[in-house]
Amino acid sequence: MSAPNTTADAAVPAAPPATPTVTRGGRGSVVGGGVLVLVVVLLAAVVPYVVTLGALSSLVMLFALVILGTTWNLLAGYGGMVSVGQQAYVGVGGYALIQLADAVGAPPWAAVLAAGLVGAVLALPTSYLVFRLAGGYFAIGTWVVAEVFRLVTMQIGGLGGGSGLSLSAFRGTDRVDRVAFVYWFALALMVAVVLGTYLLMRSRVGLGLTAIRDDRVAASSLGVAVDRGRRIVYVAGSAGAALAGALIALSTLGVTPGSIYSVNWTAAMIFIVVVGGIGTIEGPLVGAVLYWALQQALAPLGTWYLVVLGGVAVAVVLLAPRGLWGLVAGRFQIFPTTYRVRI
Amino acid sequence: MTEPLLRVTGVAKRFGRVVTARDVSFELSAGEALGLVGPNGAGKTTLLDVVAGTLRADAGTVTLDGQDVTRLGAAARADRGVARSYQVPRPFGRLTVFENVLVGASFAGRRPGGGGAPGGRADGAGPAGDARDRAWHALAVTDLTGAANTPSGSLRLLDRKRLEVARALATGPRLLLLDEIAGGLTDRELPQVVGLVRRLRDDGVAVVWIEHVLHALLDVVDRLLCLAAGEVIAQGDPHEVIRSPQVVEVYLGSTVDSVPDSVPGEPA
Repeated sequence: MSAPNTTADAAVPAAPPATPTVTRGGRGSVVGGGVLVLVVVLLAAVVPYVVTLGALSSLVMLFALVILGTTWNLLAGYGGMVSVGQQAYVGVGGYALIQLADAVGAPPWAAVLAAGLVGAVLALPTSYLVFRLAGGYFAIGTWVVAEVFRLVTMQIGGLGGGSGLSLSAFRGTDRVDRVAFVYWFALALMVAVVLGTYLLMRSRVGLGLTAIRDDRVAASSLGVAVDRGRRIVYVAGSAGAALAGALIALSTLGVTPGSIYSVNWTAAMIFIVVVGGIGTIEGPLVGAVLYWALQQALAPLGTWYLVVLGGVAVAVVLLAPRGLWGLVAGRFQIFPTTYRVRI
Repeated sequence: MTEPLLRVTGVAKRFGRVVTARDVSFELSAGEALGLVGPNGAGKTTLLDVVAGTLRADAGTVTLDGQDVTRLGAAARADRGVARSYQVPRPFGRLTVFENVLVGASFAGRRPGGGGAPGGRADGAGPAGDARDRAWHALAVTDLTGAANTPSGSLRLLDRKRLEVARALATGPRLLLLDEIAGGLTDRELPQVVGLVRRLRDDGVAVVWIEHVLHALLDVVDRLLCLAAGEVIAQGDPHEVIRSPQVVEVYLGSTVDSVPDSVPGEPA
């Protein structure tokens, strides 16, 4: 083979070409966003006046599930951290709420926000421990950490041991006022968490996080501070789980270590995110609504409810591996975090 | 005399019993291109990893502009103007080609006072300024604009290699480390790559280029460094290096697939 002529300085443009328009979302996101705003307005202004108190309480659970799904998606879908131990922070949030509201005497809304902060404060040192593990070891390790959280909680005096705590801050409050307050507060918190997650993922930090998820080594070579990015996600995601835990305790008026620290919370998060569509903002919303609806519809069936849930999960993974939202995500985004170049 | 941009002194690295670098030293100034050759397993990529901060050296130092960066990680070195391509491409598979390059343009390019870095931002885009312009420019010079919206995970190998270079360029590097970007290119594409590297070098970027396609390398590098079993066996003028007895012996004694197209001793 003869050596080709390698002296030509061909094909390198002298002047850089003009950058074409880069779009992030289009008509779909305007329409979809409008529909979502309408749904939130209906939930805030109409629904509370037409449904029963029991239905409102169950909607609070839906809002908590959206927060759980959204923040677990932040961890697994954007941060690449498949944690099976987020129930640690659900539990911490629940206990922190009751202690802050009853023992400290904080108003319930402030106690919920502070409980989220407690989750973040505990997640920071924990991250140094679990970040030593990768992949499957990270998943198992986080589960072990959650068990440790539960066992330690049961050993601390004044936290009710194995029977847990009940919330007394609402004693003397009218039931309607209480349920209405918890409902609106949970709705506002859900909107804030989803919007906050969207803005984070749309930002430069979000771009760096998706790079870390896809290839940590390449991301660091391009100047992305990998450890710091993962830590931000872990702390934020855990704060979200703690907020949800606090809401659940606020709505159910109590916690027991067996239920608030249950691994079933993480199983629900995984279902919501995987079935809804991992790595998208919309996916966990779809997944949470589906999970909640199945829960409501199948509650009378007892154990069969879990069988159906499992069947749905298997069917979606087989037929729509990118989740239900993944079926439309290519053409339609309500929360556009991606960049498209108009060529 | 001014301090060279990159100074590698006495670097050593071993994995268990396998020594991949032993007392390696070299220097590189801005606007200089260094070719890195040697048989497979000689430690070329390891040396690049140590310079880029992906690996920590067991011994020795790496300085950039006289500043010791031996203890710094890859991201911190990228902030100081080091960019690299990977021999086995590592695209962010679920991001599009444009988004991949945008990562490069959005992070390392933000270091304070980095606006003077040539090459990737020869178009005058400031460090905090238009990441999108820098990303697009990097796609243009690597001929990837047509694939901008393609998920990078579905690119063919050759385009993945281009993407490696594009991402590195988008950071606006002062030191560019290239790991086998010419293998598999056609005779038409090869001069484009050579032209690109030459232009970057002429713009003041320091380049270290590992390449088995020797005639492409000889067309642009100012100096050649030959590694074998982790040791520098020759460095200096490219044509003298490939004619030196040690280098000829190493190449002839190695496997066939690492023998370059143009036989040493008969430079193009």
